[in-house]
Amino acid sequence: MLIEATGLSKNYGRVHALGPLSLELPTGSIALVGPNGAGKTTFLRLLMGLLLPTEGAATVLGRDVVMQGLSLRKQVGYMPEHECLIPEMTGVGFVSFMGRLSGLPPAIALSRAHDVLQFVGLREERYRKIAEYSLGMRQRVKLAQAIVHDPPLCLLDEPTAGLDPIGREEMLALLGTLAKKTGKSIILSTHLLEDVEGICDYLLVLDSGRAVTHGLLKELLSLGGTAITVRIKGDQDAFMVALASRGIRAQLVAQELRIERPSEGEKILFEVARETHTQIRHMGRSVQSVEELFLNVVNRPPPPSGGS
Amino acid sequence: MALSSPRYALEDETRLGRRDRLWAIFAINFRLRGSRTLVTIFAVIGFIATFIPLMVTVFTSQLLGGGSSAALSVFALPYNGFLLFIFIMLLSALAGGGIIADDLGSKSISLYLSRPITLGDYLAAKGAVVAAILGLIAIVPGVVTVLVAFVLGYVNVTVAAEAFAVYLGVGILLTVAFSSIALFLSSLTDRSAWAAAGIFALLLMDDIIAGIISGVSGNVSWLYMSPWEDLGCVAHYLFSVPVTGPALNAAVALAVVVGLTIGLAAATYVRLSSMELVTE
Repeated sequence: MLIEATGLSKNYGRVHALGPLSLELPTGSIALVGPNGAGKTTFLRLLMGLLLPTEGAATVLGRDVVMQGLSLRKQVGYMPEHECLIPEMTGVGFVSFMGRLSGLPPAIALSRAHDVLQFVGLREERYRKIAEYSLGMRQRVKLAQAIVHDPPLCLLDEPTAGLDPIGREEMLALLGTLAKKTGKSIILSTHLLEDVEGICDYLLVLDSGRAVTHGLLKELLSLGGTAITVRIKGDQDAFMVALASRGIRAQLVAQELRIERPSEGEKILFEVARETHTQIRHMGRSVQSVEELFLNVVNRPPPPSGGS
Repeated sequence: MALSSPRYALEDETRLGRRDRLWAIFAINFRLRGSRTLVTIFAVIGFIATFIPLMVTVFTSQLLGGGSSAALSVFALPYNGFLLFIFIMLLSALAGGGIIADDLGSKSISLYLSRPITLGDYLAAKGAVVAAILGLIAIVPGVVTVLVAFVLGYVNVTVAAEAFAVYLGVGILLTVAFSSIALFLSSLTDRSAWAAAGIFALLLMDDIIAGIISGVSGNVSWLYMSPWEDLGCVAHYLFSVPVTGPALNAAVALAVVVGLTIGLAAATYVRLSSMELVTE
C-alpha cells in the first residue's frame, strides 16, 4: 500500500480540518478531490509530515509520517498550490537548488535540473529569472522541482490552478506522462473534476474533512454495475411512469434514461417498452462523469445547466 | 512541450547527508544576499572603515612605544566607538531583513520544509548566512589587521595570538547575536523592507534609549539593554582595556547577550512553527 491511515485527524485549535480518516490507498495515480476547504491540502501536509496529526497515525511508502518525516520527505516530491518560487533565481538554478536540498550532489542536481526542465517544456527559458516567468511557466517550474530528485511519490496540489485552457491542457499532458510512463505514484489534489479523468486510476473524495468515497475510479464511475443507460424512441415520460409503477427508478440524463438495474433482469424493460409503445434503441452499462459522482457522494445539487 | 521525460532513476547512494543540505542552503542564500549591491557596498566600506583606522592605530602605538610591541588593548578600537556598530546595523538590516521575510513573502519556506530539512536546520542555515555577512566587517578586518601587524613586526606573537582569539571569539558572539535579532524580526513579516527598517530602527533606538536613561539616571546598568554596549563591555574586558569610572560587568554583559541570542532564536522557532499551522 502507498498510504495507510488510521483515525487520522487534524484540528487547528477549535477548527476541525480533517478526519478521522481510516483508509488505504494503493500505489498508482490517485485523485484527491473535494471542494475548497475540504481538507485536501491538510491531508497532503499530514502525509509529508509537515503537520502533526491531532489524532491517529499514517504511513506513506511504509514510513510513519510523524516519526520518519525526514526520511519520508526524501522520497516525496511536493508541488504546492500557492506561489513558492524564489523570484531572483533562474529556473535551472532554482530547480538545481531544490535537488540539492533533497540530497543530490551539486553536479547531479544540476544535470537533473536540466533534464526535468526539458521535460516540463522550459528548455529555452531555463536561464531566465523566475521573476520574468508567466504563470504557466511558474507552474511548470513547480512541477520540475517536485520531480528533480526522482521521488517515487509526487504530491501535486492543484497543479492546474490559474492556468489558461492551453496551459491547463499542457500541464495535464505532463501529469499524464508522469503518471503513466514514469512509474511514479502521484496524488493529484484538485477541485477541477475534469482534471482527474485520463490521469488517475483511483479516487478519494473529501468533503468537510471526511472521506466520502474512495476506490478505483473506473468502478466508481460505473456505479458498481448497478445501473444501465437506455435510449428510448417515443414517449419517454410514459416509459418512466410505467417503470415507476413497477418500482424501478429512472433518471433522465442528457436525453438518456439511467435506470437502476431491475432485479428481474433487463427483460422487464422490453415489456415496458411494448406496453408504452416505445422503442429501446440502445442499452448499456451506465457510466457517470466524475462530476456526477462527486455531486452524488457529497449530496450537492447538480448545476442548473445539468441534463438530469 | 518536451519530447521526452527523464527516465533514468537515481540511485539512493547518490544522496548526500544533512550537512550537505545545510551547506546548500547557506551557499545559495549567501550568494543571493551577498550579491545585492547595497550589501556589497556597505560590506566593503565597513571593512575599510574598520581596517584602516585600526591599522593606523596599531602602527602609531608601536611607533610611540619606541618600537616595542603594540599593547593588546589597542586592538579594542572597533569596540570603542559607534562606527562598527553603524555598519553592523546597516548590514543586519540589509542582509537580514529579508532572510526569512522573503521566504515568507514568496512562500518558498514551504518548499524548504518539504525537503528533508527541519525548521531548526533551516533557521541555523539562514542565521549562518547573516552571521557570515556580518563577519565580513566584524571579524575579518580585525584578524587581517592582527596578521598584517604581526607580519610587519608591530606586535609580538603573544599579543597577536591573543588579539586574534579575541577578535574571533567576540566577533562570533557579535555576529550570532545580531543574526539572531535579524532572524527574529525578519520572521515577523513577509515584507523584507519592513523587516530591514525594523531591525535598523530597533537596534538604533535601543542603544540611544539605553544611553539616555543611563545618563539621566546615572545608573550604567541600563546599558545592559543595548547588545552593542554589552558586546563592547565583553570586548574591552578581553582586550584588557583599563576601566575608568562606572562600567558594566563583563560576565553579566556576556550573559545578557547569550540569553538574548538564545531567547530570540527560540522565539523565532516558535513563531515559525505556529505560523505554519495558522497559514494552512
